[in-house]
Amino acid sequence: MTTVARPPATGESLSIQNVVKKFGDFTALGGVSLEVPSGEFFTLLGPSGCGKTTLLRIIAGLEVPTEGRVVLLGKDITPLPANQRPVNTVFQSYALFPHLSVWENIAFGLKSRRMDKAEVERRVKYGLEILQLERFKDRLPHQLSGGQRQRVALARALVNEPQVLLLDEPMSALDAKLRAEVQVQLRRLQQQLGLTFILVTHDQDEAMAVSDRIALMRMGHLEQVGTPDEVYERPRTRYAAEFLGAANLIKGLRLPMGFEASFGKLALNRTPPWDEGYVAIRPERVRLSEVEPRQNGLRVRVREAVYRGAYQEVWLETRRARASDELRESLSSSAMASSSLETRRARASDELRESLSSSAMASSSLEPCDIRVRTAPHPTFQAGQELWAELPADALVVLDE
Amino acid sequence: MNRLIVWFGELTTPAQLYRRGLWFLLPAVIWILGLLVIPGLSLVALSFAERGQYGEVVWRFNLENYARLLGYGIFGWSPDTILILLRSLWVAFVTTLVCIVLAYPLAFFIASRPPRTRYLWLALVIIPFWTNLVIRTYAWQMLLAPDFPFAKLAQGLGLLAPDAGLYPSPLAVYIGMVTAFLPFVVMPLFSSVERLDWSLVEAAQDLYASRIRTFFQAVWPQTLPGLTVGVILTFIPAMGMFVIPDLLGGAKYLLVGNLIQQQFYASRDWPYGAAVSLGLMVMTLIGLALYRRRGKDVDLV
Ligand SMILES: Nc1ncnc2c1ncn2[C@@H]1O[C@H](COP(=O)(O)OP(=O)(O)OP(=O)(O)O)[C@@H](O)[C@H]1O
Ligand SMILES: [Mg+2]
Repeated sequence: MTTVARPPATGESLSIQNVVKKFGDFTALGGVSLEVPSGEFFTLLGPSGCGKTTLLRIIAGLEVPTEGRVVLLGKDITPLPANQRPVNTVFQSYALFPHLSVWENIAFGLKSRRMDKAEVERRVKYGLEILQLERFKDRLPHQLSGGQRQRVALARALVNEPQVLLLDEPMSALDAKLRAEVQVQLRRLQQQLGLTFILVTHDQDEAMAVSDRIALMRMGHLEQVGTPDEVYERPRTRYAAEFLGAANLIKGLRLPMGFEASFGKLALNRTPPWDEGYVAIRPERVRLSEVEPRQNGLRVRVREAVYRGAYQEVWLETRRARASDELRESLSSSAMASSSLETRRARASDELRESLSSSAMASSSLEPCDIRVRTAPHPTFQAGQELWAELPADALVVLDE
Repeated sequence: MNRLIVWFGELTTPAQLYRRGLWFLLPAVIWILGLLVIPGLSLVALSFAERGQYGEVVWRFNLENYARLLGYGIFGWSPDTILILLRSLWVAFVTTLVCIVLAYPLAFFIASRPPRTRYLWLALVIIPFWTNLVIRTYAWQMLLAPDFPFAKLAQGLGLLAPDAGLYPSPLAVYIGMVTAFLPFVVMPLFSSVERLDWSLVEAAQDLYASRIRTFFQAVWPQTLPGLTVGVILTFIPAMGMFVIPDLLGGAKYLLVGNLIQQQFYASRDWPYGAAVSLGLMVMTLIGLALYRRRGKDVDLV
């Protein structure tokens, strides 16, 4: 097989240094710094309007940063115009030349650089081959389907063997099945060619599926950068926890090696840095059982269970302060005497203070919250059912803010 | 023919549709028949007639007018009429070309203005239309006269004899023609430029294209629709233009428009005028056919 790829270079390829972009008095990027090593599949993830495209365009040279530098392989390319950067883009709208055939579209960049005919032929042929476009090489873009156009756009960028390939939501126009297919293809291609890919997307599943590393963006800033499992398992902020997949955010007060939530005390692997803050846990990390777990167990009631085929989603109702049934029973018996709810609550906390030797009064400022759980579809849970939920300490992530 | 079909939600038969279509076409057919086909055919008929002694039309059919058009006169063959025809073609071509070259920067300039001032600029392009072409041409006569700065400058540079004006001259004709037709190219071109898909320009730049290549591959094809309208609106009237060459070109720079006008007024030779008109029409069609042929395979850079 012919190959156009160079062996992957090692070390730092692309470095974005404190880039700021302002449109008038609107700040689209507020000081972004980023290092992307050669041969990495890097993904910019974030909601609409957070500045992903802007950052990509600055790397491509289609937009001039207000401040900061873009350095490629040790060379400052900030002042270089787009047509002199060894960087190619797959545009969100593909931007294929409508009057040129597929073959000519793919050859465009090569012809721009006045490569000799044989080399153009060879590379275009390779591009057509690798993206399975040979059958369409004489068609015009408007005679292609969305997926085929996307592949042409990809081939057109790839045959130039850019140092960095930028992809701006290239799969947003594809249906779910084709998208999954193209994702796999893209990942394979990137590994095969050893090029640096920077992908923009607002689809977190896509980001997880293809990336070596993910940068989560928020309003012109990088919120968190890391490998998919780092970002997913150890989100640093509420925003990161909620943007990537579902998360239960539990508000609580600091305790040594633990924290105090509305429903009680939970052990953590470290002492939270805040006095009052959030702890996150992924729905699939919560364990449900009939017997009381050794640590971090909650007595909960199923509010709702939704069967989803491959899994079921369960919403658990937690109770304020003492969750254990035995405790509640003892409470209700002792509460018989007192008529007022107020005394009942006060009494309850007294008892709890004894039994748990912690301050439950403080937790009264915390709202009780539901816990969302994703679990195996069988056995199915019924609404109203009471059971134990375990929030393992290693699944509880202390959020910085 | 009683097949039922659904036509935009209506259940009907082809025969019914056909009849209705004819009714809808009727006004247009009458219009075209009355204003295009009948006068056109009479022009053809006229071109085979002969001029009488007092300028009346004598319906004696012959090909003499066409022989004259090709240069065969009473004194043998002369290239004069052919030269006039070719010159007209050339003037129309150059006028169109210069208009295009000037219109591109202008259209892009206007399209890049903020929306509020954009229409002001457009209005500036259109305002000359509020003045009659004849008056505008006289204005050029004045501006190009010997005592005015343009002529003085040319005299000072030694390009012009002292006390000579810039008109009558071919240059004056070109200036007059270009200024008259520029808006006809700018307007349709602007509408294309306004709707330009800039992502193609960015794609071209991203793919290492030089400025020239970017223009011809990413901009030019997108503006072709507007440009074609502009070219047609300029080339055809420019071929037949007689006011401007008459007032700015002098006797030595006769164009086919002037020739036709002469036949219908001064010489009162209607049959010959008709023949020249038909010659002009054929030349125009050839010119446009060439344009279409060339326009199809644009791959300049
Ligand atoms: N040319 C411009 N002028 C003014 N504001 C702009 C311009 N381009 C982008 N913006 C603003 O900058 C912000 C970031 O835009 P950008 O296109 O980078 O978003 P994005 O993250 O790519 O969003 P999406 O996922 O919807 O594509 C947006 O709020 C947008 O309104
Ligand atoms: Mg975008």
